[in-house]
Amino acid sequence: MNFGIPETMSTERPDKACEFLMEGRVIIIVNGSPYAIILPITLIDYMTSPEDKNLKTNFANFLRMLRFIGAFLTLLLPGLYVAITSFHEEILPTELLFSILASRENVPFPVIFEILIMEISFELIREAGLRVPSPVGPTIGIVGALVLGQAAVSADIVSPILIIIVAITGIASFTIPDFIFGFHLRYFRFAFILLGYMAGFLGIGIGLFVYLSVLCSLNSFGVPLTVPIAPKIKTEENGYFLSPIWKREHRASYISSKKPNSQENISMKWKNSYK
Amino acid sequence: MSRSKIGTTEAVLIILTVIISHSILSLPRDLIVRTKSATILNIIFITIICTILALLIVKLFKKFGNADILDISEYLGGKLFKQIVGAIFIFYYMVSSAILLRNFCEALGLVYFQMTPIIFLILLFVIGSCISNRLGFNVSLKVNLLILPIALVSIVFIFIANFKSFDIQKIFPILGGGFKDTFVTGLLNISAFEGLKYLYFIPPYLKEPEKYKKISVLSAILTGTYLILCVSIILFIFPSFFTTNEIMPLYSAARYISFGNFLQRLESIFMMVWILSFISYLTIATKFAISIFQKMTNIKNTKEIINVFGLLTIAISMFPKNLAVSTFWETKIYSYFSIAIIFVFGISILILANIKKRKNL
Repeated sequence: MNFGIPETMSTERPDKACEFLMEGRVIIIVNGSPYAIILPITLIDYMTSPEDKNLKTNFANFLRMLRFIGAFLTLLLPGLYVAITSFHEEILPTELLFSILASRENVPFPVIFEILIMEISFELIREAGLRVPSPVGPTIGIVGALVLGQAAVSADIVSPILIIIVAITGIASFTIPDFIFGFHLRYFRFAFILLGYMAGFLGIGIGLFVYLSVLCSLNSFGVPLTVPIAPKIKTEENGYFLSPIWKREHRASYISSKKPNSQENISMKWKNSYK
Repeated sequence: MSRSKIGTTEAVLIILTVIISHSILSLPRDLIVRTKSATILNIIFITIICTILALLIVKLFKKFGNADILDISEYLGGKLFKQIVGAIFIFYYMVSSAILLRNFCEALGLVYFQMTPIIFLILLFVIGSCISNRLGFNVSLKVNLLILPIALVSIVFIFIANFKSFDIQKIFPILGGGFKDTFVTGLLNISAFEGLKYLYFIPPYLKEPEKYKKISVLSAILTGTYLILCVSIILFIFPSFFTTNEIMPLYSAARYISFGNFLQRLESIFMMVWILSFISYLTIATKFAISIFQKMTNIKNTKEIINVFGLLTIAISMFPKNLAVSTFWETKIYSYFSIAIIFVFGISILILANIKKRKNL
């Protein structure tokens, strides 16, 4: 059981492949395929982009944090919305609750139907935008998102608050650098929508537990996908946050590569010269 | 179950799962009912006793290397005795987790699912637990490593956020119902440290067996600290006589948290965190019961019996007729049962085995 969670990473970008090669990973290049396959891979690798290392460390870490928030929102936000509006209304401030109730007053559908319509519409727009020739793509996005969304609200098919939820989820899904992992999250949010509708936070809690269990059970060629958080491993490099530029000479210890460093210890040599 | 190895943090968190799951139910209330305003003093007292008992367990295990209590009971009384001890521990693990599951589901039903039959709520937990168990022993530990810190933080958060509602005066009279109530009758509160039951079974799984002592002491101290936090929240907010009516006192305390006009009712978020930690507890308890069963019967593949143990959990949890009966089981029978199995039966076996070992030498 792996829920479609990718256990390798594929990329068309030579810089990304080279960076992972420097980190001690294996790259597989197959004749005739435009993709290079990177392995082993961890969950954190799905959230990193090659550009991160060109930025200042604190900016890069800020972006990484944003991507994790993005992944959380992509997977859980619609489900949480359904759970809160169906079972846990008390969590909302009274004014916001009134506003949501007022916006849903003229909508004839139950919240589950409403959110499924919008999420599927959003996926259709995204897929259509990808398939048509590139000059038409953005137009479809604008027509789909703005005109269709506005028209759906005016026709009382969906509530305005739901448009906001679907839009945030959609935008959050674009923050995930790896397409396949992003696809996996988009796909699985439907399961959480159903669980949230069935049993509120209880359903989402149980679903999240099973999801985490599956995530923790996966290995990418011998390396646990959730390393270095679970199992907890002390590693010099490739943890959740990027280390400062003068500390990036080490390779992740869980890779068990033959050479523990990606390059010689060349930074801040003056420190040793004073000793 | 594969013989995967457990790190120090993982082992401590396994022991803490029990206290977290029990404390979100009626545990803090029961402690306060027994020792009134002296509960904090009583917990400090029983934490010291439990740390000593944990050290005693470590010392008694020392001569047996990486053996667990089943191996030791086989050494003491042969294979039949090992089967009896194993059966008693399986019974204890299953009954304790099933009773807590029933009460947690009753509380959930009361708060959110008044119209839903209790069996459906229980079924959701058991299905989640069975799926996780089928994925392997390491998986449960890793998930526990992710979830438990969040659950611990949730309690610390409730403590800090409720600080403005605290009435520190409620700690007085400092000796509550008197010296006898606090230090003699209050000794029954030792059942709150039931998480120490895992100390009897984790030695073979430890990655670094030399840290067994550290794990034992750390778990006892952390359990005590956690209990002090929980009890302080309840004791300083509610009058001690009032808390007897609360099904989930920590949940009630979470309702007092508010930040301005926007965040006023956050208790359902805590409930979600507790649901996660509870299912994690259920998974680990079932896993250990299966592990004992495997050791008793020498079966190789435990995947097939995971569902049987799941069904057994459902059956036991449906045994109490109603909320009143299941609460009685949890508050009265459960604590005596825990003390008898963990602190009397377990330690007695270890002492007798040590005497036998000394005689044989």
